[in-house]
Amino acid sequence: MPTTTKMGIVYPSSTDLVKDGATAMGTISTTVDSKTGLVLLNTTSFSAVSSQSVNSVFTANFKNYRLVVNATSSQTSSQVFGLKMRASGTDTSTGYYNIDVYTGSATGPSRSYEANVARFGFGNAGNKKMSGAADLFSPQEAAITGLNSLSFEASNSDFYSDFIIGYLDNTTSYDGFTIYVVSGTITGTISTYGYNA
Amino acid sequence: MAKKEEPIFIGIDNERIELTGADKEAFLEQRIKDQETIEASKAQQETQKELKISAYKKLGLTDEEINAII
Repeated sequence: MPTTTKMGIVYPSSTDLVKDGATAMGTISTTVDSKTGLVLLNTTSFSAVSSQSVNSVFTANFKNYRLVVNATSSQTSSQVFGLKMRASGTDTSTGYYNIDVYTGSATGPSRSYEANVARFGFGNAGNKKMSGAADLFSPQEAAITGLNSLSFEASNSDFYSDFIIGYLDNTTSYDGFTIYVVSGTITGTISTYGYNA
Repeated sequence: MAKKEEPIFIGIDNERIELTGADKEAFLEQRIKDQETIEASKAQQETQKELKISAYKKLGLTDEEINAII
């Protein structure tokens, strides 16, 4: 049977026996399942809410995940776009450590350090745009959860880029997360991907 | 910060839910706590910044040099 160039998947040719083709179909399925690098697990849309929770998205199938957000907030100046880890429907609101390197259109770069705060910093939210991606490391394992986030925010008042690293200082196994703002509401989408390993 | 009389909606998976009663109270309390945490963190950063400026001035740096470093 021939083999594909990039993933090395064995597939049946037109002259192979049907019974061998069925076996090959099974092999194709498991090979694609294990070799696809980034797997889309969930996309959630939200509209005019203070917070959006996504449950049951972190499983033992993947060690590391990527969250991609495309949103706006109702506020005309920037505010923190927060991310909390969630286990069985309950958010964790303590134990987060963040280092934030950020720059605005007129100021910066600057840095800030937050110790034992209520959430990860995903970035900032604004009424024009908040877009970014955050990698979460080992959220589902009984281990410290780590975060790398790169995002930007634009509002009537400002325009920021944000690079945040952080960790949550506990060994809780999480199966979901909540994104939120403290003032006003957010509207947009957030997609969760698993990194295949 | 959301006020008690304004409706508050949260999303859980594909549902958009309006919080009422005790749930709304608890949500607002948590938001206030989160905001206090943010403010405390900002205050701590400002204190650190002031200490750095004070230290650099003692070392004889000009305001321009300090602004370039901070």
